[in-house]
Amino acid sequence: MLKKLLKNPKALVGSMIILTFVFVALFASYLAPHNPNTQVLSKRLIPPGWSQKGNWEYPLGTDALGRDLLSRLIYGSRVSLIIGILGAGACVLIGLPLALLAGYYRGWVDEVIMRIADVFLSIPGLLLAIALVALLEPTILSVTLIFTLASWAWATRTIRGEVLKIREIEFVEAAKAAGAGNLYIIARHILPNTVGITIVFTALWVAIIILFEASLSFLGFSCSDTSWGWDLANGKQYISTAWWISTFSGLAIFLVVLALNFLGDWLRDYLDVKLD
Amino acid sequence: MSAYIVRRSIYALLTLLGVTIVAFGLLNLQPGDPAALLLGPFATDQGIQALRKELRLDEPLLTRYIAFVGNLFRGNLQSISFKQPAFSLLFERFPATVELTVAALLIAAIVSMSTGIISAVKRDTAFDYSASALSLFGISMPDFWLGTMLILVFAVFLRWFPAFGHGPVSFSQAVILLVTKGDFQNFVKFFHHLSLPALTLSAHVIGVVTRVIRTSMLEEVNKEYVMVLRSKGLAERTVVIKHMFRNSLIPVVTIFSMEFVKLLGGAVIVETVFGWPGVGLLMVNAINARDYPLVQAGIVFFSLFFVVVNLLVDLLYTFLDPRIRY
Repeated sequence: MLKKLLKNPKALVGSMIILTFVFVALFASYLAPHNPNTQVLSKRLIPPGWSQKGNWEYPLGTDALGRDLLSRLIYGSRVSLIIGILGAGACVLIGLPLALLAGYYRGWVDEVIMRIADVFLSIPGLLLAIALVALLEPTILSVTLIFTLASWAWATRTIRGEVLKIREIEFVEAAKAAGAGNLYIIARHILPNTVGITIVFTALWVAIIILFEASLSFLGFSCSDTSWGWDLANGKQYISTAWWISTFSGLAIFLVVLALNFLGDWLRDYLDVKLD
Repeated sequence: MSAYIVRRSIYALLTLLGVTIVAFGLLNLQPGDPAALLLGPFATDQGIQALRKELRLDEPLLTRYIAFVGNLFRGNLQSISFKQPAFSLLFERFPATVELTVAALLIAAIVSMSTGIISAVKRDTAFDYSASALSLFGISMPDFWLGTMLILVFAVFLRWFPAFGHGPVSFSQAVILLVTKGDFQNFVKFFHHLSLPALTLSAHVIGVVTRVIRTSMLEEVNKEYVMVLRSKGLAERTVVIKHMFRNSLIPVVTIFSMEFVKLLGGAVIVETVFGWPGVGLLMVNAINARDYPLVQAGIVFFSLFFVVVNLLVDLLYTFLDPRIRY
């Protein structure tokens, strides 16, 4: 697998960006040149190091409160990473069992689960999320739970589609004829065959949740004082005088999401999963 | 066929019922006193008591839910900050959101159909590779960042487009002015304001739809009918556009309808970035003002739209592919 990954340029670039991102998040306190929250008001809105009025002490410049943008971006990677992984993990944790039940048993179990899923699929997730987060105070836990609530249905629907296909394959019937119980069939025959789609879904969903978190922060509901979306929103007020704040924080979000999409795309081809 | 329509309509009604429960639960099923939450940290006890009475919070949950649904469907749900019925506010703002989403969809349809078809026909060429890379860019681009960057380049540096707002007239007003008075200026002004937000909103759709069209077209390439059409001497153009593309339309229609609805949600962000006075901006302002009745009405409004569009799309399938019978 690793050999094939190294041969595909998209997958290679994607995984390298992701590894860098994880590395930066893990060692933020060693890598950041400044404290991300220290305000030096005499050094407000300094442009990036390479520009004329720049200063290499602040390689990417400073924001409106004189905080070092590079350090803020380095620390901001933590929030994106944690929420992305927790949120996508929680979605799969809820979505996978429900998908197995709905897709395998069909009938009323399927009807009940999918009708509830329909409700959540029909509500714009971002709107539900900001409406809830404004009431509940954003913390890492509450934001993760809210994303899960707003998006578990997508996991359920995607994986259920796969389960429906698997249960029609002959080996399931053979297992039934051999007298295997339902739970045994689900655990032994269905679940292993959903691993591919679950992995691809998770990779793409981490990207979606990172975008989601950034959107939420952009709208002013950030669960941390260092978040890329939050910096982007603050930078937008100074867009005509200090272009670098919004530009670099958005670039960070874009790169990570792009890398996850590259990797997810490759995983989809490699694991031969069809995602609709 | 009619049994299918009946069943689908029942599902749609059930979904809407579920949505009203979620919208109601948003305020009433979470821990904490809704009145205290709505009034925020600086509320006085009297204020909370008064609001509790206004929201009838001392009555049982079920009674309140029934009253909520009743108000909702009679259009009586009152916005707290505007002191107006919530639905009339939503309908007032809806045209601006429709202008934006329809414009974004049109841009996306033109760009992604041409790119998707060419990519599939010229598979594995430089064009195909760059198109697929660009579609992934579109999918990964946070819309609030793209919007901000477009403002930076086209409004701040180049000063070609306005950075903010909707301009003086709506699309329908602009058309009326153009037809009745030959007023071209307002018509141009409308599109001048619309350009950047619509472009921002379309990026993601372009990415998604281009990929779907390409895959869907590639599935047709090796089918026998294509060979038959070619061997009977039809021009390649006709084969591709009239036959292959038409046969690959079903997934395209599905994805377009899904994206249309996602766009309405995405409008929340884009409208905030550009100060576009649509439903999305109304929702963000309502949430910031803790005007939750308006938010609840908004949630129901969006899902109602989603459910109706989905129902229509399902019916459209039978026209696109006469082989589909329910």
